[in-house]
Amino acid sequence: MIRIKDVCKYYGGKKALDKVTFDVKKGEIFAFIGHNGAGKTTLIKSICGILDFEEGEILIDGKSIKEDPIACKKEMAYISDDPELYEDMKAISFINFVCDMYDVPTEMREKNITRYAEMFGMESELGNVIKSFSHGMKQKIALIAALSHEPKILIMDEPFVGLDPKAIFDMKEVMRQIVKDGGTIFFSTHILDMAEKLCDRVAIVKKGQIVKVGDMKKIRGDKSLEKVFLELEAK
Amino acid sequence: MSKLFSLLTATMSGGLKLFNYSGKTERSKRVMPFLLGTLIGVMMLQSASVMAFLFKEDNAESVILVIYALITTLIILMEGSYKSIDLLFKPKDNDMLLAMPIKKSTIVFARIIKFYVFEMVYCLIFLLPAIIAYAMVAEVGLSYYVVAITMLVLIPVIPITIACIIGLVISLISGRFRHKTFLQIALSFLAMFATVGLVFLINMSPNNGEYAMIAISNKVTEFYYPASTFVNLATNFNIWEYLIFIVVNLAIMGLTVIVISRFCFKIITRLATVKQIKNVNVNYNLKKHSQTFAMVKKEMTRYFCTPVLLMNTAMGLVFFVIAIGAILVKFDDIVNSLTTSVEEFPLTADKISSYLPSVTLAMVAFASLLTCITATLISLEGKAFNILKSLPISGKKVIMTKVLAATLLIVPVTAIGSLVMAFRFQFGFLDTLLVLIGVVLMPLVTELIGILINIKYPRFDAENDTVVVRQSASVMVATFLGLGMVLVTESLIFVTVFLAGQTAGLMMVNAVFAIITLFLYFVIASRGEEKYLKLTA
Repeated sequence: MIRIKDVCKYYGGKKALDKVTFDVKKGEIFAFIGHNGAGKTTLIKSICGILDFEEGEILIDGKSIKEDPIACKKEMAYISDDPELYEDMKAISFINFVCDMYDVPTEMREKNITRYAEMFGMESELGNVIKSFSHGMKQKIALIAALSHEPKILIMDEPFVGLDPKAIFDMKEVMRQIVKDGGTIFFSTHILDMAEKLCDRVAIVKKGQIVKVGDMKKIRGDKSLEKVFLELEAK
Repeated sequence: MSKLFSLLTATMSGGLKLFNYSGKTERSKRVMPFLLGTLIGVMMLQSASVMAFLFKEDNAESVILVIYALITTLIILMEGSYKSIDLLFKPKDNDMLLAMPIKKSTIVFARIIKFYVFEMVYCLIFLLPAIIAYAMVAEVGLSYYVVAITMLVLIPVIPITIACIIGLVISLISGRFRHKTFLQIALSFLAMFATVGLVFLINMSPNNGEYAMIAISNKVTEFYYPASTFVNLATNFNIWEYLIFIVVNLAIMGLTVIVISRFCFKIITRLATVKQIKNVNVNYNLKKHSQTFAMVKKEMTRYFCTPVLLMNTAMGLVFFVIAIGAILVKFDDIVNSLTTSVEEFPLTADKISSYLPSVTLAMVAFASLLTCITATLISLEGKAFNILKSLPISGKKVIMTKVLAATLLIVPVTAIGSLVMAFRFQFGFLDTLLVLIGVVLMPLVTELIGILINIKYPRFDAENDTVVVRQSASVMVATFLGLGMVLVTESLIFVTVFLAGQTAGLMMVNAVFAIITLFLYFVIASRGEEKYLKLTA
């Protein structure tokens, strides 16, 4: 579903991504882990067409993000680690705006907005201006907006940051449901326990290079993912 | 003291990014603002010198010091009142600083100093050329240069402190209500009109044979302490008067810091509180719209929810409406004064009336070319720019919808004004149509240029909207270019109408703008979009 091949990204003279190569298959939950500044957000932004990269190729469902960004973006939803939304808009207007961008039919948006707003306990907040929300509430609005157009691929940068325990639980349920329905999820996280329990496969990035990629069970073996990660970091 | 120094260094480092471009290609971005700034500086110096030489004949060269000090003061005062709210009470570092063991007065002082440093640009644009021009015509000694530097530094103090107090009062009032933004805009406009009204209330009419500027200067020195002190010290230096002036300014600044510190915590809390309402089982309108409609709606929301942007860009349109109103109400008086005052070009009432379509287009040009909204619209996305880039909408469409939204904000005002003029003074059908074409083309050109400038000079990490709207390289370049475009367009209208006649002249002006619009459209569709796609917040 997502093919990342020899992707290199430079910030000035510094190589932020160094020949990153791996695939994310359809119907799997894929975790992308690494220390701060390892290149997680850079790769995620590159996949979503937010950031240009100098070398390599990223294919979304067979289409190149460089050649046909609009078609690729139609398949995806992106949730940032920092939910800086349009602060002056009402939550419902923001979600509706995102739906308009994805050309979502009225019935579909009504169904999905109601469903996810109820799930995240935000139904009574939709009429409020986003700037009145807490970090976690903004994250929930970003999630509702992202899910309302039923994306085939959900790409999330630290999606659990700022969410309350109930929302984290619901979020995990939604992720499992999306995958069950044939969708694909790619996300970065520092919460290794959650990645271990939730994900089918994992990639570990260190200083812009992929140091390990594969099935979760194979990578961790008898150890915990945390232990594997810390050992790789220590090398 | 060390805390204050550290705080000043930290706050200034964030705000002074105007020309902070690193890397070889990035450094080239400094060239355009520098060139435009120099050009404006040279033009200002030239006009100040001409005036100084003219007034020298009447032994009144000090008039230029007063006039330019007044202009600097009024500009700082007018725009400072709405700017001060964001700069003093809404920076992003509020939470961080208020959690630190620093006195509120230290925080306020650092913010006022930052405000002051940015207002110095008006001193450099207006006051510095006047100071140089005065030195060129008057016999000045070393003391003049000491006074001149002191004045350059201290002239902004009083208008800044008044602006801060106005901002404080507006914030205190608007903070109490749910619709804070609306009240802030309304009260800021009120403050601005009150400032202009106060100036008009003062009788500055010249006596027989007296130049109008000399009359204004005499009146201003009567009631404006810095102006009178400036003239006194420039012509006859007195150390005590000089020292008293410095002390008075420092005392005013100190007092302002104390007053604002007293209220700042309350205001910050009030402004940050957005009342929430619980709406259960409400049927929201979730009707599907096109991408263009949704984008334009988003931009409109942003515009009307950003007081500093609205205030900053509405001025041209407000003056346009005032000018139209003045022509409609006082047309006979204007005709009388024109037919009697310009002896070299005898004008008749009929002749003046016949040229009103051109005059209307000239006013439209003034309002449209100075209202560049798009120069900030990309920067104002801030971190949310990443959301926009992740959406399935092309770069070109994003750019063009921003241009469309900005044009839609300007056109209704100028179109209605022009139509009122056309009906009142019975323009011909073709002339009316040509004016209306200009009404659409002129803001289009301004906004297309504005968005290109913002793509070249984006700023996504500003600490508040004021930094983007008033203190960014993009707005600086757009303002300078706008001023240049007004001069060129007004000359173009005058020359073409004078040489080819009214209708042909209007056609030519529109043709020039149509060609520029097409050219800019193709630039945006190619290089503009390419550069846009490379931007990241």
